[in-house]
Amino acid sequence: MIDVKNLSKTFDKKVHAVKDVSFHVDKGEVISLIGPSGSGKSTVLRCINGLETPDEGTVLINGKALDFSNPKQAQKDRTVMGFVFQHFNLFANMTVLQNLTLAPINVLGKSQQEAEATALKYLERVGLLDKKDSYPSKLSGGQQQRVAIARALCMEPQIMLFDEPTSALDPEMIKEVLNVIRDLVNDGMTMIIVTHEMNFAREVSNRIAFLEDGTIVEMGTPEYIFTQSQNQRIQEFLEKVL
Amino acid sequence: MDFSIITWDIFLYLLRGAGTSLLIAVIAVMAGTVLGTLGAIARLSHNKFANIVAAIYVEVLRGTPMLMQITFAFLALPAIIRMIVGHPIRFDPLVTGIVAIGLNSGAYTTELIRSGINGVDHGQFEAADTLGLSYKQKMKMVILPQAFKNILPPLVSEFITLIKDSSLLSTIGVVELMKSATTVGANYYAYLPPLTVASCIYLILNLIISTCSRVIERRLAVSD
Repeated sequence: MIDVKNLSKTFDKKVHAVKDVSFHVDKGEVISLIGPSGSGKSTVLRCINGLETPDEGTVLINGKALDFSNPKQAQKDRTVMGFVFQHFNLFANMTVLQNLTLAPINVLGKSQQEAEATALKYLERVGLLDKKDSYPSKLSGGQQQRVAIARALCMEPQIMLFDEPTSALDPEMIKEVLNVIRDLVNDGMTMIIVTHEMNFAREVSNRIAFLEDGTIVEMGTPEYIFTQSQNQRIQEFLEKVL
Repeated sequence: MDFSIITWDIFLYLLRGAGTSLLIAVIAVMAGTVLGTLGAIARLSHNKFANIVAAIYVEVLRGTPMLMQITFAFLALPAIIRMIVGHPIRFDPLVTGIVAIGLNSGAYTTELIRSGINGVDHGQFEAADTLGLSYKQKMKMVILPQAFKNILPPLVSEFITLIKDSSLLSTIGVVELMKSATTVGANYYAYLPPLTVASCIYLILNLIISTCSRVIERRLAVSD
């Protein structure tokens, strides 16, 4: 479903954020990207969605290469992917319901009623139906992130991308967000998750990629990465975070 | 100090002048906001040409006195037009004045809105992008509403400035509040009463505007 081929990205012409990264994601597969800060995990994810334009390499979705030099096409290609940010990025000038219906109405061309029905369905799913008329600033971080996930789901994406979805949350709110993501896993959603929640990654992922210095050091099943890998860097990293 | 010259009729005459001042300021601030929005988007765009045109517009209109711009538009521009079209064209002072003030306001508002857009969190742009919104939709529905909210206080200051600056149009014969007051003064050989009353009208107008703006600000604060 997703093919990342020889992806490279440099910032400011020197810092190699991502070096020749390739991997494949099957439909319904959950992939976690782990590794130390600055290892390029987020950059890989942002390139897949086109928030960053890679210097080299291609990203294929359902066999079709993304062409982000063509804004109109990029806009269309993007809507098959939902993106969840570390800092939620709910539209501050809109209520929760408006956040959820904006893109379905203006991008997918749904009617107001149709969009609202979908929005309420997903709000109920993330357990925040009673917050539909609140502004984001009135919600806790965990609630904002659940709304952000619902907002992405309202576009009926085939793929969900999570960029450190719990890194900006207070510890007591992490669980409620992970539960929502776990619910999506059970639904068979194709997902790529950049995370520092090792136990969660181990629990939900089909495969885990360990990145360091912009390259994939190893990629394999959670069992392999966590218990069998002989790679010294991975062992050191896991020792520190577990 | 004989305020008895300010009869009801004279007062109405001054009020009519105030109405003209308000009209000038309202149209100019609306034109300025539209121009400022376009200017800010041009200044922030990656299009070199749009960028340079907007930069020149801002620098020229901020770098020369408004009185000069008004006088230039009324007295010098007709000469240029005559050179081009070959026959004299009469410029209406009020229309010319409003255009000049509107253009001037647009330059200041360009910088204002630009700083407002820059003040919107980058994540808001990215979220709009990932949801597939077009550039136009993103600016119109997500970014500009937040930018305007951020810059409402200086935008109101701009409006108040324009009400006061509309008095400059008295120099090209527009009968706004300032001109009305000096005309009354000249007719009765007494400047103190009409100028005092006119000043009070300016002050009251601007107090009403700043009060309204505080109410709007409070309303917009619901999303804070």
